[in-house]
Amino acid sequence: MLVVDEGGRILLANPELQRLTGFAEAELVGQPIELLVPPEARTAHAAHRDGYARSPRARPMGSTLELSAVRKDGTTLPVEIMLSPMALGDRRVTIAFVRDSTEQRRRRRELEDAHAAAQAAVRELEAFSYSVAHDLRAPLRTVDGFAQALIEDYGERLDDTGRDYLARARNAAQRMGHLIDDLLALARLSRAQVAREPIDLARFVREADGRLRQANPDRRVELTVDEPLRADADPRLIAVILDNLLGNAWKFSRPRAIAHVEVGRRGAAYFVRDDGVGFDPEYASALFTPFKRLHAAREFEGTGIGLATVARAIQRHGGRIWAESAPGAGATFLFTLAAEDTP
Amino acid sequence: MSQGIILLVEDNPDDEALTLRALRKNHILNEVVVAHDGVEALAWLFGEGAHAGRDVAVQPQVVLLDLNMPRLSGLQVLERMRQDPRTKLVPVVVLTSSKEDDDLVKSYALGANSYVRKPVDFAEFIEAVRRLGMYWLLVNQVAPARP
Repeated sequence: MLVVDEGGRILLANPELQRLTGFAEAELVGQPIELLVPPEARTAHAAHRDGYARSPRARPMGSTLELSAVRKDGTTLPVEIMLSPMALGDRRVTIAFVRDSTEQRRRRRELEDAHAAAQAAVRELEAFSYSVAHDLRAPLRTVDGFAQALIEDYGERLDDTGRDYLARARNAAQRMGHLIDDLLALARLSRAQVAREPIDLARFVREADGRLRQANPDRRVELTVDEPLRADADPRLIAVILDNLLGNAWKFSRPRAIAHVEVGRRGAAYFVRDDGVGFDPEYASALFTPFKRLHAAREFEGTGIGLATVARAIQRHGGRIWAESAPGAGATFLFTLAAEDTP
Repeated sequence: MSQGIILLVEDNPDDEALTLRALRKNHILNEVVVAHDGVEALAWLFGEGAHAGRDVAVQPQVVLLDLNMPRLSGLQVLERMRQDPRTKLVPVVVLTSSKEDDDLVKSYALGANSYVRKPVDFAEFIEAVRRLGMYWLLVNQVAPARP
């Protein structure tokens, strides 16, 4: 600990500071504080100190500034410094708490290195899955293309069973194509930068709803949206989130003659609710895992990547998603778009 | 130019067969020249190598260009075509494996006129041809034979 006067002269230095710097008390008291500042930073420090003297304010420990002190033997010491101005009689002095931060900095470097390595690994994995997904498409095109050519050019020479086999082969190839597309979308999402802007979620809900109505003209689905649903979020990611959640709400409410979908706000969270078949809450944790499905493919089609993609898009915003349901009781998906406390 | 040539640049023999079939099925009877990679495509376009002596005044009505090829990639072919006055204005339709292909953006930057998903998605191909203003030159120029 050091006490420094308005002119930057050291008034007091405790034994711990003497131990840290190697200076004896008598070598410190009365000296300008710049004695302990590395030579290359002394001029800047003095100017800085003048500014501080004009408007002194407390500075907490652990600010990200990487400061160094210089010891008597000329070696430098990484330090954290907390400043606290106070009046001593009619003098304004500053108490400086100095802490050796060698160990903290080493740990932080290690953490940063580990983080960088992890990020590099993730990027590599994504680049790999991206190229794999691309390379998988080529043979798939061949399978689907020639199966289609067979049906079109030679279909008349096949009986119903033969045509059925070919139709199955095509369906499977196309399904795999969708899987690859979804995987690519998921990989892209992980790399995309989040660009937040003020938006109204209700607009995206209506757009998704319009597309669903067009694609399912025979369905009757009543939509209720709280308007407006303001958020500070990335519009492209929001479109992905709401397209998937509304698509699911429509899909899983298909058994209803008239289905109801509701989008609104509950506390800090947004929700999408349907009155469809719901799911068993026991398996809720699997909902957001890629390729995990809670319903048989013959009952409800899908690749099992939709909700994983939604979860990723929400995580990219720092938010989280969770779901409430019971079998037959519809499902409610809730999500936040920022790292705030959620209910 | 009613008998404009279509230059198909495609290294995958399956995609080549499917593309040729798609053209045939849709009554596009133009001569189709197939180049199996970028080097071959440029040799044909500029009358070099195996195609030395070809009349380079004859340029294709449209080039269907795959991007992912050995030796010289589709993007490199496109770049060379746009640098040469003889091929600068030849319409190029890029063949993509997905609409969201990163390469698609680069293709447009290099001067591609349009894109079609592989294997040639016919609705898209017709639309691309229409946008390029070549519709009547390529599509249905001969009425389909009726039995």
